[in-house]
Amino acid sequence: MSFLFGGGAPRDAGAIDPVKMEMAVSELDMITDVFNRLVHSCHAKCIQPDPMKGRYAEGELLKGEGVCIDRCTAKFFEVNKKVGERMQTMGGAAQSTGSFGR
Amino acid sequence: MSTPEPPSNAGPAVPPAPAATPAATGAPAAADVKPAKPAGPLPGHAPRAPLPPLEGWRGALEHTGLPRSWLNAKPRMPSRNWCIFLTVVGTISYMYYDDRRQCKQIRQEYIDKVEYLSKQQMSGSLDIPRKVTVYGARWPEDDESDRALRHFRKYVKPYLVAAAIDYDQVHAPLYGSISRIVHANTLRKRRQALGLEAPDELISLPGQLDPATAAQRELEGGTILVGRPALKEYLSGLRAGWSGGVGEWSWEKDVTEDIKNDGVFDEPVMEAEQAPAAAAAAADVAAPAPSTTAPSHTNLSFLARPLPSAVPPQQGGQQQPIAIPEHLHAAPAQLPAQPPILLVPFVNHLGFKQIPHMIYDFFTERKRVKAGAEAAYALIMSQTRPMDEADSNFGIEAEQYYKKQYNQVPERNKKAQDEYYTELAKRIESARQFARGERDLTDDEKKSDKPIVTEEDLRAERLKRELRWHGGLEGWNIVKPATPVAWQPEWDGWLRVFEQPSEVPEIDD
Repeated sequence: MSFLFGGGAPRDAGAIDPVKMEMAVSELDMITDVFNRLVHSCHAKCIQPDPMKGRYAEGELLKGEGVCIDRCTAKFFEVNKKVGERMQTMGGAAQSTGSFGR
Repeated sequence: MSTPEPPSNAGPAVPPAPAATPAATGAPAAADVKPAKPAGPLPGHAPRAPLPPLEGWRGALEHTGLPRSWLNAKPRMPSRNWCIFLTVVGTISYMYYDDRRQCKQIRQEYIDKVEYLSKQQMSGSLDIPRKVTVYGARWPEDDESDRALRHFRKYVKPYLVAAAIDYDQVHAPLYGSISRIVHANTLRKRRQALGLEAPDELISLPGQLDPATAAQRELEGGTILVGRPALKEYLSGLRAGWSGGVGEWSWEKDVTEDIKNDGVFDEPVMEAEQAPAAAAAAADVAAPAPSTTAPSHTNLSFLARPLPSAVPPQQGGQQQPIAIPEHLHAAPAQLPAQPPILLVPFVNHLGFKQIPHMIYDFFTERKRVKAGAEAAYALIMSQTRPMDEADSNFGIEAEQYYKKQYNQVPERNKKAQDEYYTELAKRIESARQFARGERDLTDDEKKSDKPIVTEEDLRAERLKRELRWHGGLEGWNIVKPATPVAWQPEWDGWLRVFEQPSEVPEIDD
């Protein structure tokens, strides 16, 4: 990304720490990825799955779809959090024992 | 058909002699079963008369080569034992099948009735649909705490989903949990209304409701109580919340106060000064907080919900306890409206003696499906009536199914406590000795990866247990059959319950 922001002013480019930049980019990637997955799975689950039965029947969401998306999103983040925690403990254990298994 | 005899047009060909040899060897069985089939002329006998031709469709089929025995076969009853077996198996399977078929019908019927609600448009993508709160108390003597909520999810939830009603399940891990949750919530609202406590902080998010609208939404929602224990606990929580004072209350603090001065952790006087410091030092050395206990920082931590921000004001309140004027403690004459209540019948059969009930229930699933569907329908149509004293008899017949051991909860608690405290005294002593450097690690401690148990750990563990014992006993006192429902006469006309909609369409089975 540094070629975008730092290209015009090479002297200022030193002010941005490339490592931090790298981290920020990867974090942004991760968030985008999570968001895309979330949209994909909740869309597949909640918006009338059968196109023959009037998918996108209305311009607005239907109430049933709204509730479903609400719960789907909450569940998604809940699971995401749990998996993240689990991975972290596994990562910690792997570092201390040297194996990534049970 | 390569018979040596001349073929006859009229009748069946007489089988040739070579064909008869195998039949003759297997004779005894075949002969008596099929006397019609000639086995060829026996030695010393005249040749048998040819069999009469078959008639009708049998005659026609005979020429296809189907054996005569097949064509002449007559249906027969199986033997007596087979009859018994088939009848029993058939009856049981049919009972099961028919029951589940009816369940499906009932479900479909009610879902069809309410489905139109979920097909309505939302008034905007940030619109918040109706939401209900579900309370399912722990059933007496059940090892699992969420049995009532599972009943809700199985028998009531499908219709709520079909009708686009959101639900919030309140987890109740202990006896009396619901009572305490309701008590705390009620008290918080009361204190906030009186200005004794800071109102909930609003997160500025799109679609965030202001408090007045949120309260209105809550009233439009509803409360679902699954089973009699939930009703008892809920009402007792309401009573505690409304009739008690408005002083700050938290159950954990109550219990902590209760056990603070009971002398379990008292030390001999001479060591009193040095011990805390030593224990703290030991805690620092012996418990190098493992990475698992550190708050996990995932990259998604920004998504985590902010914690309720009521903590700082509470601490402030502790430091300078505000004297609450006496008149605020009295319950308001006009109790503010509560969300209407839905009572869902639920009986949980437990134990060896109730196995017949369980078997009966297995084949009458439709009754519970029907009851659940009707309850959900009443909630969805939201027609209410005032709750009266008769409602405190709701589910009273379920109380006879509480296991007998439930009466001994206090004794069992006492025994567990005694056992725990005798054990605990030794562990405290051992932890203190280690903290003072009077003993080395034992072999077990050397082997295990766990941090050495310190006095602080023991205190925390003990508080946890005491919370469970205290809470369980409190809940037992509320739920046990001898205690009546915490109904107050002045509540007449205050609470409301959902009832079956009056214009009942064709829902009788």
